[in-house]
Amino acid sequence: MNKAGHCAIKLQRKAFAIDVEFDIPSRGVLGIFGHSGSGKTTLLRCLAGLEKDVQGQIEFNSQTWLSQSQNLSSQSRNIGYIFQEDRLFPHLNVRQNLDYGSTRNTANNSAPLDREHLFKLLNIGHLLDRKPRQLSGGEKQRVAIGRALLKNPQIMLLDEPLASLDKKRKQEILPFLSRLHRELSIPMLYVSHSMEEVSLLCDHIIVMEQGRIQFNGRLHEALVSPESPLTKADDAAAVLDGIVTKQEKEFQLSTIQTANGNNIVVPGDTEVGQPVRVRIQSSNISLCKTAVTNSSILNIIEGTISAIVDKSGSHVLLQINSRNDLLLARITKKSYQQLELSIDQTIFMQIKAVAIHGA
Amino acid sequence: MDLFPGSGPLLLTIKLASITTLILLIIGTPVAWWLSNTRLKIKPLIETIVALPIVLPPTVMGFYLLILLSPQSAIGSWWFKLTGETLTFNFTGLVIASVLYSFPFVVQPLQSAFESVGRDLMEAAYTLGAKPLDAFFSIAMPLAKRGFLTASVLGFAHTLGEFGVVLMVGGNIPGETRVISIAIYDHVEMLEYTQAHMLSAMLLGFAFLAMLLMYTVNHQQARHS
Repeated sequence: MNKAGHCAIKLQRKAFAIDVEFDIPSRGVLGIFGHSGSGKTTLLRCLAGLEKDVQGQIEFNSQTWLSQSQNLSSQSRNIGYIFQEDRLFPHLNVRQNLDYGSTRNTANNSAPLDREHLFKLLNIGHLLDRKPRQLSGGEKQRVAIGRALLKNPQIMLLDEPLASLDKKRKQEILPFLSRLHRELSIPMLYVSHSMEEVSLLCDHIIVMEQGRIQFNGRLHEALVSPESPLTKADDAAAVLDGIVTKQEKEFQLSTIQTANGNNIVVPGDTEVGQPVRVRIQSSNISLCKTAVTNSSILNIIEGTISAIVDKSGSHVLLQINSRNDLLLARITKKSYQQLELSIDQTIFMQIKAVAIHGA
Repeated sequence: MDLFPGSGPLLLTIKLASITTLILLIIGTPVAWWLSNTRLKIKPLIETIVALPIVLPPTVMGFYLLILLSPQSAIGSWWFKLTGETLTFNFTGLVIASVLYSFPFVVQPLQSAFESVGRDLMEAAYTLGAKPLDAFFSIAMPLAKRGFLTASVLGFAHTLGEFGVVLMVGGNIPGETRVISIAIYDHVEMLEYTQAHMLSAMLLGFAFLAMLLMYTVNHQQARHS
């Protein structure tokens, strides 16, 4: 990871404390994952300069935000902040809300973001003359994202931007965020307690617990590594990145190819050439010792068992390596014994295409 | 000056109430803002001091102000040296007394209006690059405009009706400190009921219209937001 900054801070509050140290990436999305109360929102607020009494050091793009002698105010840190709630200014219309940050940020000398392009990307061009109260929840949050981006910040800080939205609205915004991620050259810090959101958006991940960092690493490894707390979850899942290589409109299916050469059929008819990320839950992979033919299952992929991640309960969670793509399979202990599985063994994974989520 | 009988005290009263309200808005706004944002332990103490004129008998306030503003006091003698005028039994002294007397009626509505604006939107403004004063004028003030209206009407109307403090500090000097409520009292003392009726009716009518305006506007805005 190319780093653009470093953060080493402590914060003591009555009920809890924050004590963290990590690098801020120069681009891509760094997820900050944790259960509620783990301190992830407070950490983001510390970075934004919204918390008092923060101790330590924050450096970003060779600017000191926090040190023993200095504490840069929020308005002087060149950030874009998305709150859990939209926090649009109710007395201003959408256009005035969008302009609020862009007219005030004089510190930035990089080329301003193309407004028209951003409006198109966020699909907010038709809302400009409305007041915030006339917008739906999803529209409000899209305007809030636009407002923060138009300020032309050097880093985006997002605090559970989808938490206040229902499932349908989430599905509406998630693609915007992942498109933004690809188009922006600035880093994003994304706080969430949703494994799905983090898996579909992030490149790196920090797992927080009780104000401390429990795990910090690349997302793809964090999702499948035995040392990672993420593999302890019931819905442990791996992600694969690929490009759409085939589109079957009549079946509503697309085939994607990963950089390592694996082909996976996924639902949805995404355009050929589009980059997609698929999330494959461990419980949706079954294992065979021999390649099955005549199966209803579209994806049969060969791999080797590379690690036993967890076998504490009635199931065994296996990490499987296929051409260096790492996946997780959860099978019962009984099947594990009957199949006489062991590390380095070659195995065929059956992955239900319908069980794959893309973004 | 005398457009009609009693117009002298009426105009003086309106002048006093206008100047007082203007000063109160200028002083009361930062105080209310501070009160709505501070987490300091002395906040209840300050709130108590601000609220005192609501419960204190006007004569008590008037008595202390008389002592505080008299030429023998530090403030009174400093003012006398500066301008050659006393603060007691004088219009300037009356303004000072009115400002203190009506202070809570301006600070309290402003404080609750600022509290309902909340920290969230201010934080959003800061992260968008607004400095505190800029955020105050562009976000907090427009959103607290109902509070400003209420504060202005209450401050104005309350100053309009004051009697005890004025009598103690200002006395009854025509054109200088003889405000409408004092004039009414005088007329009643001299059994001039017709004049007393006229002035009282004017004050009643004005108070009614001011309150009606305030509630109507507040009601309309509440329906809009």
